[in-house]
Amino acid sequence: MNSSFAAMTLMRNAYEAALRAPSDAVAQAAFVAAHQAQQHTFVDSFDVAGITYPRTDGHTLSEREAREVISRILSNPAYSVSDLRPSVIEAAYPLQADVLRAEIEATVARADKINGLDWRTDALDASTKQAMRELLRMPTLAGGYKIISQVRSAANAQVLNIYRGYDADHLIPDKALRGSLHRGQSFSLDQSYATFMQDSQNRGSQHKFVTDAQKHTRKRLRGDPTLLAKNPTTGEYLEHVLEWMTHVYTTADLGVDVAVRNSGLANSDEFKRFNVKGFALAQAGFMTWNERKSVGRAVAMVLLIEAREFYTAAGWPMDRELPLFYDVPSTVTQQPVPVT
Amino acid sequence: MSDDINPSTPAHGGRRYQLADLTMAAGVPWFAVHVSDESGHTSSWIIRGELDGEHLRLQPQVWVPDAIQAIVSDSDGQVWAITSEDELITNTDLGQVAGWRQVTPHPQLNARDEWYSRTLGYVATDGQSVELAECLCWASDGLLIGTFSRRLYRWTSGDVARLEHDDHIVGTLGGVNNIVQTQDAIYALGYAGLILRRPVGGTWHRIDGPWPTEAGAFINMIAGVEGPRGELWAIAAGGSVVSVAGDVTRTIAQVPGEPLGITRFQRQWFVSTLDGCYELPGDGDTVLIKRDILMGKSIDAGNCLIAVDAEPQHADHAQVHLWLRTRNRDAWLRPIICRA
Repeated sequence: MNSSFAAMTLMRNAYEAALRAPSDAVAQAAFVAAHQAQQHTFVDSFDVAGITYPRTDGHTLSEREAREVISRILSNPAYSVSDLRPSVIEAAYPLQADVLRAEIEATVARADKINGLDWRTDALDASTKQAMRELLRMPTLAGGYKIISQVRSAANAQVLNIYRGYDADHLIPDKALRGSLHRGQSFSLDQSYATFMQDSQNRGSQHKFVTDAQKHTRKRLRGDPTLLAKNPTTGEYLEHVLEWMTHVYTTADLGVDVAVRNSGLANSDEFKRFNVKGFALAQAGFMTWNERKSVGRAVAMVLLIEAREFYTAAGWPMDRELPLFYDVPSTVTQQPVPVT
Repeated sequence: MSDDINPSTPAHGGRRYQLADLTMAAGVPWFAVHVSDESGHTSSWIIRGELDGEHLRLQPQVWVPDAIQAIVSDSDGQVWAITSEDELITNTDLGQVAGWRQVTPHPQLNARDEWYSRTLGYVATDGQSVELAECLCWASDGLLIGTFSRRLYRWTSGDVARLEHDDHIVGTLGGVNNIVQTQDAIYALGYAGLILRRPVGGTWHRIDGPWPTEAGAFINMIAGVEGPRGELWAIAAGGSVVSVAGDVTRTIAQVPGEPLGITRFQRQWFVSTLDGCYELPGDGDTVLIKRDILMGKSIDAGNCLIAVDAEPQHADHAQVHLWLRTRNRDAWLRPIICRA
């Protein structure tokens, strides 16, 4: 067992002690002190079958986020250690025993099977779909509080609207399917599923990556601009979508999805301050990169198969032409001057 | 249900503004802003800024019909921008030079610079290729262009940019995020752990980062700046700050937030992240300067630091964070660059 796991054990013991004795000021203070001392200690490697694999930055997101929220709770005199859910401590300070190799290996085996499918023709059984969803705990629903409460109450989620996309449960933005670069939903806190990013800026972010992947694909499909444009079929376009989705799911920061306080997310304010929202593949952070790649591709594959089924059911088959280029104006008119 | 959570419902007649890039030229900040119209098409404004006390005076200069991907200045303080459709735009007076067209001045704007543009082609060894520009940098021997296919091109004059270095690997997505000049070398940073170095008078070569080989393909180098001893300081997705001196790379700090920018400002170094602004004292520590603001790329504007606001107050706003630090004033402001 490496020394960072030992530090995690210390932390967990301090938590247990503080939880057992809520009125013992010494135990409470000991937990706070331990948290302060260990909050920058991360497990930097893990063993798989005798080989030591390093963790990288993207792997430790869940710990960092969960610890950040613990700090926030502890710095507020209105809350105490007993307000923390055990799950947030588990996420913040993982133990060697929490690394479930069996679970990871089962996931990777399932992923490899999925990766052998052809998304344009094959179907998935219900249990595989369910398993991948469990794995994913998708960020589309982990967005702004308003969106979540709306989605929860929206009975019309299944209403077919091709231009709305296959609703909230997958990461192909509906606009991506249309090839448009104009994606809504990621501008401000109230609207987004990724609340913090705009699409056009932030080089190096996933949003900018997806935006540019779309632009690039569009340019390649367009070909020589002096010739007449030829639209791709929806299937041809989605072939490219699969590639960038694989990239997105493989390199996404892995975070757990835990509610921090026992009271749950009582209101939007609580939600903003105390929710650790995550994109959780199984055992976030304890997969090797090659395992992550396999799982990332499988996630993209499953979502694409579901999208295909959805679009086909909605009367939009894969061999239908995707109107990527029809709306390009041949003349340009200057936009009105913005207010500065 | 009347709950309309359709994310594609645009705000304010459908016209939305989003900051795309920013740079310093001739001592004042310049902004490239994307405007998405009702149909989803993205065009751009170039806006000149000037700090007057605490007020940022803004002057829209020119409108171009496509998305500006990057904006930089040359050593003469002139502005250069490139669009997703390969238009190179500048306020350098090139009216007499063959191949340049004057950009039609906006009817509502007068007494502005004259702007010129031309279309570039990208030429590699095997002929013309389709590229999407990501970033620009003026070097002594021409304008360097980093692309989404992780290739570097150099333009000096005429209508083509020529291939400088090719890091494209089939099946690995993500482009060049930043090109940085230090006193003795130029660096290109990007996806797939890309760190390229070209010493003065030398050629490009790839430098291995301080990570295991297996992880290389999944590392994303976002931006860099010259460090205190002429070395390169670069940030990677996840929060690592990597120092590159010659061929030696090492991790010198870990920022506890998703980094998007790094800049020198008043003889200190700052990383802007989605959690706020951190100073790098250079001893391995990180010092929180400003908490809970979402900062993208940042630039040194003399008596202030200006960073992209990654979460503007409204969907139709392009906004920045501005840290004004003078002898008698230390304040964080949040000016709006433009809105509908």
